[in-house]
Amino acid sequence: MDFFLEVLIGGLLAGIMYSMVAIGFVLIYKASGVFNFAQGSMVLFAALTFVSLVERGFAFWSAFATTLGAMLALAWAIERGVLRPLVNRPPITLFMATLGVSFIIEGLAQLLWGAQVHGLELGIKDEPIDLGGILLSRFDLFAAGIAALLVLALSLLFSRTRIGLSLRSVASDPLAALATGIRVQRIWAVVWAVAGFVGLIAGLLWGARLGVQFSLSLVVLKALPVLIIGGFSSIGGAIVGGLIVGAGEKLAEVYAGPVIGDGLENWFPYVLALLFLLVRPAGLFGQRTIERV
Amino acid sequence: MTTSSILRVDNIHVIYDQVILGARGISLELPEGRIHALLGANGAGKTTTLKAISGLIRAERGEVTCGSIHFAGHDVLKSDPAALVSQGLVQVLEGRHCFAELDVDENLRVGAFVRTPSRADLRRGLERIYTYFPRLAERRRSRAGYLSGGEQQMLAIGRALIASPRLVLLDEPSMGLAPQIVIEIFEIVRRLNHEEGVSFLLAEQNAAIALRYSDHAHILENGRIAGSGPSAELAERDDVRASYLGIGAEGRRSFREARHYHSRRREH
Ligand SMILES: Nc1ncnc2c1ncn2[C@@H]1O[C@H](COP(=O)(O)OP(=O)(O)O)[C@@H](O)[C@H]1O
Ligand SMILES: [Mg+2]
Repeated sequence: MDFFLEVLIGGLLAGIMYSMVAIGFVLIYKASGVFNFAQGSMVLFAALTFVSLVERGFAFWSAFATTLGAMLALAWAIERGVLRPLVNRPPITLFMATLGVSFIIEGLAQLLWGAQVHGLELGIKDEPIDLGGILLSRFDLFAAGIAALLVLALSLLFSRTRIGLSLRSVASDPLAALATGIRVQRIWAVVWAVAGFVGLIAGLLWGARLGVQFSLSLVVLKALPVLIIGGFSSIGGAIVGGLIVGAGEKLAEVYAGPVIGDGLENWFPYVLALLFLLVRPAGLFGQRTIERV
Repeated sequence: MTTSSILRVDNIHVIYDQVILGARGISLELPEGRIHALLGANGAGKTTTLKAISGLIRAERGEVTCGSIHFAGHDVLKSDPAALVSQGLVQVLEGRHCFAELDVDENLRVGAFVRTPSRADLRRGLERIYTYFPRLAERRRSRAGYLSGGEQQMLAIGRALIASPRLVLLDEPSMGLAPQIVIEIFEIVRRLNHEEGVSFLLAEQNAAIALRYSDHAHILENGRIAGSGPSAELAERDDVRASYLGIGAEGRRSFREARHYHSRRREH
């Protein structure tokens, strides 16, 4: 039983890491209907910039602040330079544009910082700690704590501030928001900036776990099943979806892996996602539009 | 422009997607403090005209290709919609368009943001709207998506009013509502006009009610103004009654045809 709990909780904690990437997608999708494929490259760009600055002698916080500045500039440039001129185009055009942007960001990152793999140290030892007989990864606990703080901050932003309420109005009905005098484009710029910030946090945590390398941008592929399960437009959905994927893949790996074979962890989330697509195409939280966070 | 007119539309043409004509040569003038109506069947160009005035037409891939629009001295065609709202020109969209996932209070707050009010101003603004619409006060914590059609129309109007507009463009306020509720809403429009001096330009398919509550009306057909006049006079005219008020044996027909038919009948 303890072993089962250990696997389950370990999976849930790992799942929160997926949620963090998924939230970046949800923010932009909710506010502007764009599926931003470049979110993964933004995660990579953030991690790579941070680690390169640290290697050049920057202290943690000054590297963090500089990277944040770079992320905001990047987000602003994408919104202004690519998506705003394409406003009112079909979603597939916007998606292709973000796909293009994604490769440009990766190319840019490589030009700036080179292609070698970097280790990223956040000062959290990834050693097991014992909680009532259950062994958990200290790093996973730390990451889950950061993710919880991030979600709390975002929900306060959405529920307590004018900019948050404006943002929800744009997500709810863009034409009505425009008619009400909301400066919709300013709201989009804010959303992209917030998504850039979320990308930075995800980049640091993922970079610390996997090492900073170009395959980091593939966390997108981990976020995709999370979004399918949770729905594309709900932050709550992204969290629940992440937990389901995290727990599901660990349990599958441990209990079904020995029978079916290694590597189950990598494709099991897609099995889950496909099942959800067949049963509930809009995801757990996607359909009841009135319930959006 | 005469000093008393708050809105002046001069011979505007509107096209959608670079080909579809929505309005061809509309001109009208609205003196401050009046209620004017745009009447016409579905597709006549009422919404197109209102959206051209509020600047929302550009969000619908539409464009005003010629003519000019002036609101209180501002060149509308050079202003973005948010700027027009802050200058006092607000449109209430056809179909109400409340923010379904936001509650009543939040919908109204969003409407007030354009003025960047202080917290105290915001509270006063909300109370003012709730005195006009006591039904909304009862439901201030309900999500707008769960309100009845009439309540949603009140919320849409309230959300426009909280920005303290000088001119409200009101698109099909009666659509889909029970007659009693329609009257309730038009009574509030009249009160706002009398008590606060708000001017209204309203688009309606329901010509009977619109003529009852407006000072002056324009009849639109195929993107053109086919007739205009004081509402009380229009309501008495045989051609209008036949085409728009469903009175007379011929049934509904084009206003131009009806006018022709009635003028011939009068000659005989
Ligand atoms: N977004 C749009 N794209 C293309 N054509 C439109 C659009 N909106 C309206 N139209 C066309 O413009 C004409 C006038 O429509 P509209 O202004 O909506 O009429 P009304 O409000 O009087 O029912 C119609 O022929 C309609 O098909
Ligand atoms: Mg219309």
